[in-house]
Amino acid sequence: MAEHVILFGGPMGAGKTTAIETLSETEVVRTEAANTDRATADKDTTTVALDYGEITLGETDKVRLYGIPGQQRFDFMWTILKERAKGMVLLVNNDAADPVGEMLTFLDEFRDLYDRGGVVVAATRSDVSATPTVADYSAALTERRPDLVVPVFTVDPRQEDQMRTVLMTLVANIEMREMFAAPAAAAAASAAPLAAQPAVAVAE
Amino acid sequence: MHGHEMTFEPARTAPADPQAPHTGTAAGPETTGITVPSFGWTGVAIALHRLQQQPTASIVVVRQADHLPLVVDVETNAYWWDTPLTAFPAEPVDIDVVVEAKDPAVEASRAPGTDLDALLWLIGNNSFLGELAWWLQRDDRYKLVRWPNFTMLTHTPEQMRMTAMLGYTFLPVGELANASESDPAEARRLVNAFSLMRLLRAESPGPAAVAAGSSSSASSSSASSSSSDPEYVRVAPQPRRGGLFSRLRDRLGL
Repeated sequence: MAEHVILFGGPMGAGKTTAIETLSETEVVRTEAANTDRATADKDTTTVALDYGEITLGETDKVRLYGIPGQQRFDFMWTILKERAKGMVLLVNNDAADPVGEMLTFLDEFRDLYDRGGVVVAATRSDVSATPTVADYSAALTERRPDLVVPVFTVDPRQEDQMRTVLMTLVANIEMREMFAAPAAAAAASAAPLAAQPAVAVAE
Repeated sequence: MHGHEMTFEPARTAPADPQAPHTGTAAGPETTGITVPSFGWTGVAIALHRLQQQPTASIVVVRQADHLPLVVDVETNAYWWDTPLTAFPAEPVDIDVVVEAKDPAVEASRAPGTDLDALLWLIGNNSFLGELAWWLQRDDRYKLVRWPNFTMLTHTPEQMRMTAMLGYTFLPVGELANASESDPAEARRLVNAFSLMRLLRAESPGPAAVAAGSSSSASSSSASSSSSDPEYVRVAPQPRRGGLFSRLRDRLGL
């Protein structure tokens, strides 16, 4: 059975556990403990290892949904999982002090996934704080990586239709990258076999 | 590839009463029993695009049968309308479009408007009768500047898939339809909508890159092409069935 690992990352309190609960067909395995950092997120518990849910696609595929702890002191967990991951949903809390900065910090941590184009940014609590807007997030992402167009959506992680849109968009992006990378690589190989290879070959 | 000729698919019967409200964009004689082609939201799209290109202190007022007037302010990216977008009339009847100078007194008393993106998405998808918007070019290649906020827009998996393609590389509209195995008219509607939402940049087959339907407004400030961008990567049509996306779509019942 093919396995597809999708990570749900982001700062504490952004809604990672809720997002996985909304999407998973099985009861989510939660590993939470009492939250001792009330200054960052005013909630009773927080994820200290992993949340896990899954979606089975017939007898051939399983999508594994992993929520990774938001606090940086658990970043050893990030290292383990990002090697296996196909992509990441990065949740950020729109009413945090600096949500754009938090987004960029997490993307730096997951640079390889970001480089592969397998990231969707989901801004939660936009009903509480209307800014930054999706255009604000996109502008910061474009400044950081002008060659990538990363999807940014506002979401309520409790809403199944919205979380499906986020997951489908992530998968569509991953497949598009694979689809376009193959002919580009072939064109590069045939055009300049002895020269330095461009990252993306240009047709015509 | 499809040409620029307008085809007149949805049609309505001309009003029997010669004094009936004139449709600002319809063509042909208004005689009882004669079927008159309707351009639907096309006139609105053109008016909005013109204001996007040449910002002035103006608003667009759209009147149509069975609805209170729709007021659009491109400058502030807002609109005012009693009709919820869930009841958006895809084929408006007796539509009339007027561009008016802003009245400072009226503007001062107006409540905050609604963000324009969702309305532009609907207008773009329901104008030009499935042909390319008149300000776009068939041979130009288009790429997203940023994604639309799809969690707030009614969309199909095919639209999402085409959007992912436009997010990755420059594509002419015909090749977008071909590579995604989508109806060419649906690809054109999508590109029309994104252009109206100022989410696209364009590359002509010639050297210069230009914003696709965008002015020099802040929202299109990034709509210029970088010399490091790939022009576009030619791809073979991709089967819609078989990939993880399609299996997930089936599983989620989309």
